Amino acid sequence: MFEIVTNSLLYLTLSVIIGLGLVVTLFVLVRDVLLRMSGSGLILLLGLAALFVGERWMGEGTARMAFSGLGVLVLLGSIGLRGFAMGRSEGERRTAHQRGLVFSGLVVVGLALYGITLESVTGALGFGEEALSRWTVTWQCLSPIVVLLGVLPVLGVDRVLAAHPRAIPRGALRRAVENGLGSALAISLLFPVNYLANTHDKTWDLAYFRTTAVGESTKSIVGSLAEPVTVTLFYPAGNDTRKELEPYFTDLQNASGGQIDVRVVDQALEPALAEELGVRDNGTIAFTQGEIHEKFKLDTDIERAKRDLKTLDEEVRKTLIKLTRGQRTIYWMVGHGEASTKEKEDQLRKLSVFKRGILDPENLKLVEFGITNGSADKVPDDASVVVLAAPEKELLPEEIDVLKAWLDGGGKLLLLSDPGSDKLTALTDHIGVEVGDGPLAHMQAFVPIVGGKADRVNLASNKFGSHESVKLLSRNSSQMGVVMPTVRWVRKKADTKNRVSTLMRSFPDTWSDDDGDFEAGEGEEKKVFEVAVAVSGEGEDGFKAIVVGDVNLYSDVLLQRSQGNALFARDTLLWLLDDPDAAGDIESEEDVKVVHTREEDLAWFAMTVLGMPLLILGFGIILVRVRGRNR
Amino acid sequence: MNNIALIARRDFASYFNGYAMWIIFAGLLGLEGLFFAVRALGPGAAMYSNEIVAEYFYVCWGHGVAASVLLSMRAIAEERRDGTDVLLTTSTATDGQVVVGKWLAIMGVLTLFTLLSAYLPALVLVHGKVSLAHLAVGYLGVIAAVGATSAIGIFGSSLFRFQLAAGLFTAILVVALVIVWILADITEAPFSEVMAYAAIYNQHYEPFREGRLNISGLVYYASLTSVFLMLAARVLEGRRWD
Repeated sequence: MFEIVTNSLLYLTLSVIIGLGLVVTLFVLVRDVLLRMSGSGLILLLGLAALFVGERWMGEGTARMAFSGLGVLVLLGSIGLRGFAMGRSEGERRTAHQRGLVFSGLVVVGLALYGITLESVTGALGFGEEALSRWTVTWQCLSPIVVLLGVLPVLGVDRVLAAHPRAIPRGALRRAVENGLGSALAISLLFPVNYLANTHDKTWDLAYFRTTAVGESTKSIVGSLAEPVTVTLFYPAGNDTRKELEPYFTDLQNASGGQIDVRVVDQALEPALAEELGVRDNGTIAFTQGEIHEKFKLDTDIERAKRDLKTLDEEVRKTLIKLTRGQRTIYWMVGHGEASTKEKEDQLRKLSVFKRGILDPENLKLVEFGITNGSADKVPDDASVVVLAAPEKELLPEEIDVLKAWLDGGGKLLLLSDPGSDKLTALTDHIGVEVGDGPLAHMQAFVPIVGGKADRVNLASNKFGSHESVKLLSRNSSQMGVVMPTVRWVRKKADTKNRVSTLMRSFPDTWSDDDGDFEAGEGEEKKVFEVAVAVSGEGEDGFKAIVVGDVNLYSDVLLQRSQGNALFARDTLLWLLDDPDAAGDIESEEDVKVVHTREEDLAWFAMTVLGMPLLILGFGIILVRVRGRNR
Repeated sequence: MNNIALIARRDFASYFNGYAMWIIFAGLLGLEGLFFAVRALGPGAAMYSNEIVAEYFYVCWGHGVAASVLLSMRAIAEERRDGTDVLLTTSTATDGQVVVGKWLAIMGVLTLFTLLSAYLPALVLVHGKVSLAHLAVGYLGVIAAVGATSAIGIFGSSLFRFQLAAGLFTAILVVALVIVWILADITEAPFSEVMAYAAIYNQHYEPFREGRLNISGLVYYASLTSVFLMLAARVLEGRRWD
């Protein structure tokens, strides 16, 4: 109620202010016409403005009647004044007013054309729907053009009258009218030209797009196929998506050494084959190995297919893994506050992308492993890997014993730690490593997240070891780094006989911020720290373990934004699974998020705000001085 | 054609006679770099590379349009104020040639300024994935847009003797064309569609930002440029009789 009243008051106030303004302006203009016998073009414009506001903004009701009525009155008043001025003028000035009157009449004709489209008129004419539409559109399009053809010459004539109060030069009046008509026609031409351009618009999307090439990882998989695979592309002849796919699958075929056979068919022309492979329509890519089929869809429409074509290699690789490796099981320990795929509170401990983006494509099933299904008893026989993701509470002694037994039997363990989580000393001692307490910190090599000193523990690193699981990262270390918000150091125990290899280290001048003040205090030595290691047990069938000082490295936030993090998570897992062939680059043409460290931020800031502008200023100064000297 | 080239060359050279234009260039580039660093590369969520490029063209549009208003306000008004417009009106060049020549000079300066900032999106190429065609389309959009606002500025400059008045008039007109899409919400068809179409940024520039080249955008900017240059020529012609 209050809102309705307020709105009405607002409208009323606005109307009063506008009305008052109109009256004052009118008074001034009318006075000017009467005293100097000048033109009434501006009054005509005011009348048109009031009419426009009334017809287009005021809706139905009293306000509309008031504004439109006022507009018509002012309009007619301007014509009356013109007539009066014409009667009181002589010679060329009288002729000018005559012209003004004629074109003012044209404005009235234009308004009349609008008037015959009003409901009160068309209702009386009794048109059918189609005829009404044609009638309304035709006259409503012509009306503004005719009004414009009247208004601009009137304004031109008035300008001549104002510029020459006594005698109008020969030809000035004719020129003014011609200019007005020419301008009106040119402005009128804007509308049909733009209308045609809009209705027959063509768009070319030139943003970044490329179909992926076959990646190293996919090449490794097809190069090591034990049995042949047939790939069937269901696309009609001449299809644009088909044209994008064919080069990729030709390369795939070449990389397979004859183990991959590619055929391209139209689903409509090969119904029997389509039925056999369970394909209902075109836009499907089917893989067959023996009796096993896997398939995925990729749209026949190139615009819709573009997004999927950018990640084609990833999809093909995932399908080949499903086809050729069979499903394996990861047992994920729960019950001690571990980071998990279902974490809701701390986003840096939510690992759902790790499951979705890394485990699923490798055909790895995730099973939660707690007290209720044997974590204090025995690791199930079908386990490929056990994951222990930074438990906040201590494990039971029985659970530690189960894991030790698992490792002693040649098992595979992914152990993720984090400052604040249980150090699992009994387990790490068995593996042959030690972990630190507080988070590592660095003065420059960090990623700004929260702002201020607290960011110094959000380390970034591109210092990789020579272990086979990080060979791709190592090769591309200049372009890829790993982000680790709060990471513990990890190092080999002096007395261990297990083989401990460094996967990743920090930058020099890193310190372990045990006192949590983000400063390198006394006793906090600055040096290089190892943050992730790979451990192999003694003998050929010895255990394998990956120990990483930061569980956050695997969080959704970082796996989605940092290619280095995603690659580290994937390739170290593949090493654990004894599947190094599947490691390697997966080609993707998807757009990437630009992540930069604070150091890079400063560099870019300095260059963009200071460096280049100063360079250009310097160039300009030299150019001006050289030109000055040459003169 | 020779007259147009002569006027364009003369005016273009006059912008670089002293240090002023280079200082303005450096200042505007620094400002553009600051906006870019904060909006596109600042602290907070990392952006995709094509989003960063789109942000760059957003910043570029704003600076380009502002620069076009500032450059064009003096185009004709200064000549009138200094009394040198007599030289133009009594020369063999027609009013249309004068207007087009001056517009070309401003476009030359603005194109140079726009291209000098090309190092900003080039930075994205270091870590991101951007196509050169996307950059080309974006620049085409910027140049088309500043072409239109320069033409509006020249029209404004032809109306007034004082640069400030001309600049103010142009700024008001340009701002009106930017925000006119709001009127689409409070008017009915067909005026609502006309208002939405008339908006100089929303419907017409956004596709260029995102690397999409569309004909209607180019036609819109070209037609706006032509009409305002024509109106400016008409104003100059009318003034011959004063």
